[in-house]
Amino acid sequence: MTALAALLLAQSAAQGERVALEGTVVDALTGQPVKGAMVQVRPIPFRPNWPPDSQATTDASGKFRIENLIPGRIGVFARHDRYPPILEHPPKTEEIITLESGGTKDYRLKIVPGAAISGRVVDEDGEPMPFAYVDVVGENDDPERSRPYGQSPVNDRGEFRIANVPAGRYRLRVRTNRPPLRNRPFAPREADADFASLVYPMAYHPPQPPGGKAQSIEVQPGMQLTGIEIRLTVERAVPVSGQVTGYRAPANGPGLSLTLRRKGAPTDAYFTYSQADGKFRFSGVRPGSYDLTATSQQTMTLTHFSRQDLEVGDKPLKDVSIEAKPTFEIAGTVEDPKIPGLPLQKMGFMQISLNPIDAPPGVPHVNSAVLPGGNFTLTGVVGGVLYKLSGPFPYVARARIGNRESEGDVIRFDSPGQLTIVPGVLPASANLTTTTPAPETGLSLVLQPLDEREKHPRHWVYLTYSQPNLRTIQAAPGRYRVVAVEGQLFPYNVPPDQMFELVKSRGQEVEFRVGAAAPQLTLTPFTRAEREEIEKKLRQ
Amino acid sequence: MSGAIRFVAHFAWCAAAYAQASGTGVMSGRVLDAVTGEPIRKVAVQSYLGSSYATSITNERGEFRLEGLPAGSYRVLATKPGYINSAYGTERNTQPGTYVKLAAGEQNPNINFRLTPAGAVSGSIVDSDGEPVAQARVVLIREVWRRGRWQFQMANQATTDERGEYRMFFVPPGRYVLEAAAAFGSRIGKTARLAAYYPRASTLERAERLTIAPGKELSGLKIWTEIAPTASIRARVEGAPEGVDPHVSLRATANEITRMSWSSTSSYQGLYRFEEIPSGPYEVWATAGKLLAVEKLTLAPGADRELTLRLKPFLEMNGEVVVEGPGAEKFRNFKVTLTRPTFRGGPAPTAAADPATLKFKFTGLEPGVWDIGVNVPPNGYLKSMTLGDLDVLNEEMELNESPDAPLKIVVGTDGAQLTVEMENALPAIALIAPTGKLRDIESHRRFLYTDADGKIPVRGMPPGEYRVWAFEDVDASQLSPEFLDRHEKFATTVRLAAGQSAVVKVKRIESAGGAQ
Repeated sequence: MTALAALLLAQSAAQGERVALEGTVVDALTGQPVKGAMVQVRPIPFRPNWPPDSQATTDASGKFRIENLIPGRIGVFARHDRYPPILEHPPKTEEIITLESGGTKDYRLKIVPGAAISGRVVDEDGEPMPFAYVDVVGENDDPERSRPYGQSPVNDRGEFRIANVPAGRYRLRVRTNRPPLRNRPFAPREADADFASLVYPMAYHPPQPPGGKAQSIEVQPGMQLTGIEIRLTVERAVPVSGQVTGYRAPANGPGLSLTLRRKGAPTDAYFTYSQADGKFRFSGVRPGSYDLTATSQQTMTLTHFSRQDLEVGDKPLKDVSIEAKPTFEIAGTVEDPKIPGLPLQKMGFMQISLNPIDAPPGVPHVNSAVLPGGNFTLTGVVGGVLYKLSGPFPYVARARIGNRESEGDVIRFDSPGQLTIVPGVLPASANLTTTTPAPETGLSLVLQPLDEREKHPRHWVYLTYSQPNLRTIQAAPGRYRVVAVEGQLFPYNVPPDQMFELVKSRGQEVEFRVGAAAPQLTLTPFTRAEREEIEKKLRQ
Repeated sequence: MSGAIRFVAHFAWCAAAYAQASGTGVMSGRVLDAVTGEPIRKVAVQSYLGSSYATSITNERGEFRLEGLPAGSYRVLATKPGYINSAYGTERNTQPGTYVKLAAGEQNPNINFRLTPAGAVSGSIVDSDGEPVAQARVVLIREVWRRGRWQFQMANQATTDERGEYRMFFVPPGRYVLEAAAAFGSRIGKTARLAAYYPRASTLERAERLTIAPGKELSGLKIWTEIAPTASIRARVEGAPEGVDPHVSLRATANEITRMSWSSTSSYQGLYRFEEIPSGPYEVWATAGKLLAVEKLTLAPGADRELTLRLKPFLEMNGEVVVEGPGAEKFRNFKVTLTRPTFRGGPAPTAAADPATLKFKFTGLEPGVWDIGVNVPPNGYLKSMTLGDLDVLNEEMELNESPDAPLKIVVGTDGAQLTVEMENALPAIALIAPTGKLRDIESHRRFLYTDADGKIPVRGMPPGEYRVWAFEDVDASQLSPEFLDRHEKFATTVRLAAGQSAVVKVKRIESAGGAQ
């Protein structure tokens, strides 16, 4: 867009010109019009005075018309029950167009069909396994991504079918609660605690070769992937029972919540509660190495947390003991960044958060409102866990726990105590130049902090820019390794090994410093094709 | 392979640890498919005695063997997905079955089961152009004989896939109708897909009846649906006490199965708005403290109705219990409970009668149909229940306003005792119903199972003439007048006088279906 065109657009918007977008939604594969599709538009960049009701449904010939729009760059996408669901915003399928002054007509908006994956799940004898569940999960079956990409129960004929799966690489995960059949001698019900039992462990397709790398299946739009057969295997399992110490359940309240998670495969988990007398029992645990955690949650606050290793062999395991450790309550103050030593006077709603960085599963994030006078109380903080501290300020300049001083956003608590936060207000900057023209689809920057977060891509800094003419970037002070990536990058959709590969192969080290001259960053953004190349390389 | 051997070894150890010292018995038998007569493998057969049990899994020939069983009266269950669970002595899971008596050291090789295979239903949902509708909720509704008429009950549900297709399985044999439930909301904009019934009906009553036979699949059932503009309601509430914000709710009354409701506690300038709701019949309820208003209305597609709800006090009802018969003066503790014929949530209103006067009073009652429950003395019975001129023992009690007349409950202390004895002490399920027009009133019927000796003792029977049917196997939800008329010739008549003890011997009506 030329400067003049931009000026004209800005002017027409200022004059309040309203235009319509008219077009047809078509199937990206067949080119056929799609009836009953919901079309949604959004302004790029975000504009607060954008009409809220900017959506329409296509008629029987696939046509739609959205009125009352402001000319300029917009993102458009369509959704439909017979196409993959929109899971993220903005969706990957969004098309970015310029809405001309006078409106746009005959726009053909493509809607991309998903794939359908179908097959059968059978037991060890080849009989159907009704009521097992098949989930479509990411290549790494990331336990933090709780929602699968698709799900299907298995029917009476052993069949499953998952449709509307967006193009991508996946694994299928099969779960069932129904234990394998077995003869049981005549005995009291309570005797089950002494019996080893059988279970169907969670199964994957494609199966993971022993010691090998997980395989995946790739689906393309409109693909009908049929005939997958998943046979469940029977494994021996044992009951695990024991005793919680250091915890008294409230009257009529629940006991501690206990979880066994298989090391290296945390989605393979068992759950139970302790009784009033502190006793607990897991049934049907497969032999292996586990993390045993005990947590107690009362009125949304974690009051106890403890973790220990547990080895489960092929004999029923009794007398496991776990001590419940109370969590910390951390009271504190936010200081006024401009007047050291003085608490911050509250302006509007403010919140302090602690997000666990490298913690056992089950350690939640913690929030506290900041009261007038800059005071806050964080409850349910787990000792020894590394947290990222954040609040209603760009970053943390310094934090004091008791008389120990730390710098930056990463913090660890060894005992309950008083926390003082000195906010950082002025962000540090760097100047950015890209060696190739900035892509239309936007640019994402990945900043790998060179501190304790280095090995945890979830806690890196991700910046997304939709303006192609970007020059200055801002971040909390510190040392980073930076890369640029074409388009929008969602850390939850990218496996960690790919993140490490990106920063390793093209990362530029840079230090962001407040009050110092902005350093120069010259980056070559990874194109979509290059990223796919890396993905392919890593898979081998 | 070695793994399999290890399992066996382990269970053998368990068996040894829990084996009875001596004189344990064995139950064995076969499990066959009631339709094909073929043996069924991998059926779990379990024998229960108190809180102890044993399990045996059938082999390729459908055979099982339960060992190490001490003497006692066992319940034996056979379960396999795809078949109706069965207790020994019956074929359906609606019945608890009968006991198997095992003497010390006895071997009973005749514990045989015939399992009824479940059916399936499949098809598609289309719009008025015949195009598939994805993500549509499909509900299978079972027709059951309850409270003296055919009623509907949710049986199964499914969601259509992107091709508009659905499939429901493990469906017990019976009479059904099929619904494509209404859909509305942001997914389809300011229109609603109206509820539709197989194949093309707009109400449950006009739906085609489907008979699902054991082990059969009804396929290709296509339901045509229609889209209509949504409607809206603006309700104003009058007569709310100072400082009390009324609560307004909306209940769709098109059918009791896929009942939808909305509620609102906030108004804008006294106006409660319900927008983008499907057209159809509704009840609008408003409550504020101890006041209530109910309006019934039908919304046309696209309608925007305004209405005013005038709050009135909740209903009140006075009543008394009268006890008649020998020792009547001894019984002074009565508790009367009102329940809804269809569950709506919330506690059932209860009133205790004053021991001196036997009078009771209900306050805070919602209008509508109420069922009356009262505790009767041992061997006592309900003689009559009247509300003014209304016979509420034999008719439904529908309250629209606080009744002027009291609810009068007459309890007799001298009910009759009846023992039904099965010929050859066979296990059976008996239906005992009065003769004449009271036969089809559910509260007068008794539906009971034989004990381990093939007997059914019943107390507190109102005096009168009864017919007794004893079935090998029957579905309790299908005991319609037509069904009983068809089986009239198999019934045995018995007359009971007040305070009398009678024994009636009956012959079992053998099940027709299934391969023997």
